[in-house]
Amino acid sequence: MKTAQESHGADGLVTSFLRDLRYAGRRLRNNLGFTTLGVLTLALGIGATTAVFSVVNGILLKSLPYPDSNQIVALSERTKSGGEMNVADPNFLDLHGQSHSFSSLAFYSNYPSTILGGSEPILAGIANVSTDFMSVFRVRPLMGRVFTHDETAPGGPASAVVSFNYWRDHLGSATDINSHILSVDGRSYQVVGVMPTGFHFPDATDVWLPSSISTAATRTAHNLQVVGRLKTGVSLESARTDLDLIYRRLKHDYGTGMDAYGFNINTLHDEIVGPVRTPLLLLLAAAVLVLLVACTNVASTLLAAGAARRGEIAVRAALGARRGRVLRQLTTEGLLLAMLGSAAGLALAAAVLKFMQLLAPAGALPQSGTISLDGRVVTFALAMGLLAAVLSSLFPAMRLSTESITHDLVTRGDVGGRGRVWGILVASEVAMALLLLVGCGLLVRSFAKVASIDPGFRSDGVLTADIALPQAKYPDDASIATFYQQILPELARLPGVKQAGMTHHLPLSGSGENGAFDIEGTGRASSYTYYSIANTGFFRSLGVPLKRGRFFDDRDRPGTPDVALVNETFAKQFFPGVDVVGRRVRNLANDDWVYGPDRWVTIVGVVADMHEAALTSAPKPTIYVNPYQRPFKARYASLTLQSTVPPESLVPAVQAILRKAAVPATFATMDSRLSGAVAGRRFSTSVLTFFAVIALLLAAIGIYGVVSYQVVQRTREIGIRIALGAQPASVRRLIVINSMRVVALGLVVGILATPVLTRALQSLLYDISPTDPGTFVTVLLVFVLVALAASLIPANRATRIAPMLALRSE
Amino acid sequence: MTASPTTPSTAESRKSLIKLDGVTKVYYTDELETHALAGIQLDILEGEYVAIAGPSGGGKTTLLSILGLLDSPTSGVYLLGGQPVESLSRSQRADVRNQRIGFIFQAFNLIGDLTVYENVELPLTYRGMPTDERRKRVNAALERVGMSHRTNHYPAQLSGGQQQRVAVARAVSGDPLILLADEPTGNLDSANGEAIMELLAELHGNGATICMVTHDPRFARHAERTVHLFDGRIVEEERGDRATTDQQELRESGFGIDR
Ligand SMILES: Nc1ncnc2c1ncn2[C@@H]1O[C@H](COP(=O)(O)OP(=O)(O)O)[C@@H](O)[C@H]1O
Ligand SMILES: [Mg+2]
Repeated sequence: MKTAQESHGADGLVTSFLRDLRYAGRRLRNNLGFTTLGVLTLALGIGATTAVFSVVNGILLKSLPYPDSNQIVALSERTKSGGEMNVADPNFLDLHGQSHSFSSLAFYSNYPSTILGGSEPILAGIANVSTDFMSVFRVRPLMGRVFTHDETAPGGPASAVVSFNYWRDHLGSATDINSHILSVDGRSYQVVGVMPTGFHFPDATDVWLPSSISTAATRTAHNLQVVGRLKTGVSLESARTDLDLIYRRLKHDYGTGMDAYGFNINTLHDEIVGPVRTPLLLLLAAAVLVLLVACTNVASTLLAAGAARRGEIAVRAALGARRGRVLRQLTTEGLLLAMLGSAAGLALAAAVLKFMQLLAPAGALPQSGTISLDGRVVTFALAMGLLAAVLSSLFPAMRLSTESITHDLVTRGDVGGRGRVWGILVASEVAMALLLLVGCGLLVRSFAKVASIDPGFRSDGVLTADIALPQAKYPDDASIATFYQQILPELARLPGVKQAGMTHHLPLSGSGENGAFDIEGTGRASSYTYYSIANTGFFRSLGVPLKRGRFFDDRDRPGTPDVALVNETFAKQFFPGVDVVGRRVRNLANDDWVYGPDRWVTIVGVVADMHEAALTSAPKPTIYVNPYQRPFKARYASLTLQSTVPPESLVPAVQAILRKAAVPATFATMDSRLSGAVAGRRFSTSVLTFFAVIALLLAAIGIYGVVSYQVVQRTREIGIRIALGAQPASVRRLIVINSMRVVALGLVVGILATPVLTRALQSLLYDISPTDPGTFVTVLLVFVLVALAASLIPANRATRIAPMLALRSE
Repeated sequence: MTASPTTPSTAESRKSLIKLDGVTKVYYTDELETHALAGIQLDILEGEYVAIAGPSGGGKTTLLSILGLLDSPTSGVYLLGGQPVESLSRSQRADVRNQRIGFIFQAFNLIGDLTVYENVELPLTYRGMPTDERRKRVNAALERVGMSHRTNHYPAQLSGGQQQRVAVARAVSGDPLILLADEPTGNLDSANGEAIMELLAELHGNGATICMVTHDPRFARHAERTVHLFDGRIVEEERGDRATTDQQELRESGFGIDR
């Protein structure tokens, strides 16, 4: 049977949709409180999801900003434990010569150094690269050219390619670039090209210099980072097979001379974003949970609103509206609500994004420059809105439209109907919010543990300055030693400065090196020691106490016997049970190629351990040599100043002193370095906490709303109970127990689901079990209290229901 | 059915259970004052069966809700068992309702999620009565109204007449001083209505004090006395002149007040 409802054509459909929309708009306008709450709730969910998605989009989904960037790969050698290490020079040559998978293959190594020749000396990122480096990225120079083969050959002409920023800031955007000569580490380079804006690979490189393979190097000296571009049509898999073949051939030919366990190959994108993938996906999952909680909330509100509309729906049905028709009317309202929510959510996402970027310091998120609310993000937000509309309105709409209309036409002699659906909605909301709270609790406790780790040094009042002594002015050991002998006392005399020191590797800076050495009497040490160069002022300025022996002093000069300090772990590990002071070591792999194998170094003191590599890793055995005796590597160093004034305020004075010595510096307080060391952790913890609080809030609103509605729905029943003599406390108990039963169900479901969460979270936890009872108990307690509060307010209202409502018939 | 030995033969010798003196009730809505009750004087004696009759809007329900401590008068004095109720706290009023008053509503007002047994038990649980005692009372009350075969049913599974019987059982299970009924037959057909009326008469015969609101004079004749309410005032009191409480006999003899 065809009726008017089905037979109207496309035109009629549009008209009737518009009518639905108009009607929905009027309803939402007339119920402004409900609409505002619904839109805000959805906006929170959609905003959170969209903000995290825009980060995921910018970092994980967007490809690197190079042509056909999915072809760009990173190669490394495999360690015994499956880890990655740099490629040895001869292995690179063999890979280059034998593999068929790459259209170009290049190596690079990078470090910061002082560049002279521009408008002023600056400390900048330098990369030594091989010929094909630029063609791997297929980036053409903005001006001039990139390197030629003879430039990257040993002894070739010295030329340099600079970044757009360096050219603009330090070469005055010169058109005659060839007339500019840069001096880096004592060599002169003629500028031959300028790269386009935005190209700074690797890291923040400003100057690229040609580099050649060291033919003398062994296959166990791992010095090169390698990138390549796959030939068109070659997959990562087939490249891997190609590399395996070459590896087996090399291993067969060189045996123990080849210490790698294979070659690794990965897309460069994966290599760059790999470390943040897990936390980002976790945050995305958390945001989606927030959205689901929001949808559940709106669904239950719509259900409540709908229940109050049974009469209206009954009339519509009585007038001949079919189920689908009623359904569409109700879904249109949900859709309109969700679209308003998406719009507000997008605006919120922009704000949340700002907040997240404030939280995430530079470097905590790779590629973070590409995060924005682009078309894909907007599409995502709209899709989330649609999803929210379906989730939050279709379900209640279906229930409403199936409810028998006779329900409303006969007077009912009983009072009741407690709504299982409500129970399910609230319980799932509670379960999801609990998951978020547990995750947040575990991260917060981990963070607290990491933050409370004693780094072994004081950071307050400490200013640091990274410096590189230009080769031209400081050509040899003597000049470097003299620099420190003059500059450190001068800095220490500055008003407000108590101690001035220097170190080759500043703690928590990410730099560090280790190597083999010999112990007098026993020969080669059983394992490597970490190596640094530091003077007494360094330990004093960071408040690192001397445990045994003495610090360096005036006795220790160039020409007197070499001395060193070691940390406690070094003493314990290499000299267990004996006094390390007075013992001698030599042949330190880190500088014996400069000072020869036979120069003994006497250990004169033991300093306390510091967490130098990372807060969360145990202190490593470390030896500190004297910068006045072994200054070669001290060309690159960090100065540390302990001050009695705010450390930032010292910068101009320190800068002036260094400038006189032609040494550029970059400054940071030790406090900011310390907080930078936990920045990534702080970021994921804060964002998750933010989401968990929103979810808890939404769950509380949800519980409150449902209980309030139930109180309204049960008014008569409660009136009867009061008429029969129920005490206020018993009415309150009735309501609260009823809601807490549902909350408890949600909590149980949530707890049952936590293993899924904690497994995902494991890698982000520190020194805490994923089933930490303290966290669970706290979270449950918080939840129960919030749920109690959310149900007590409407429950109290219930005790004030006038009992005479029971007398008045419906 | 025999007359209860506790039923006194003359009203004058009975003790006063309820005394209203100058009770008024004013409802304020949107700047509109409704004088639902205007100076009510009323005495209800122990063991009496009083009907409150009158047209719709006359103030019957309002009067009953004040009698039942569901609402408070705007002015006037209400003595229940000689005690002024005005000074009672919220929870003391709840206790009075629970222990001294039994309600029977027009719309039955059974709780849909509770079984017949649990509905009857409900006021007793509010008293904190031990389970054994409760079971005895509930079974006795259901026995009395002839519903002991339906203890595990839900209200929705019963007819209207049956639901009202359960409501009566709930009202009497706690041995109240007085039963208050508001149009107890209003939602029932005449046969079922008649049966409920007989049930009340029987309870009265066994000594219960009953105050029943009805707008139907046919039912008012079951009472000993009828109070007519019109516009919030008592306009007429009638006393049924009956020496016997055997209602069946009374009806058959044609002595019922027929108006
Ligand atoms: N809650 C209330 N608010 C305002 N007016 C009321 C309220 N309850 C009853 N009334 C008014 O008081 C008068 C008496 O009502 P009611 O006691 O219900 O009469 P009856 O039960 O005799 O029909 C009526 O005019 C009614 O409209
Ligand atoms: Mg009435």
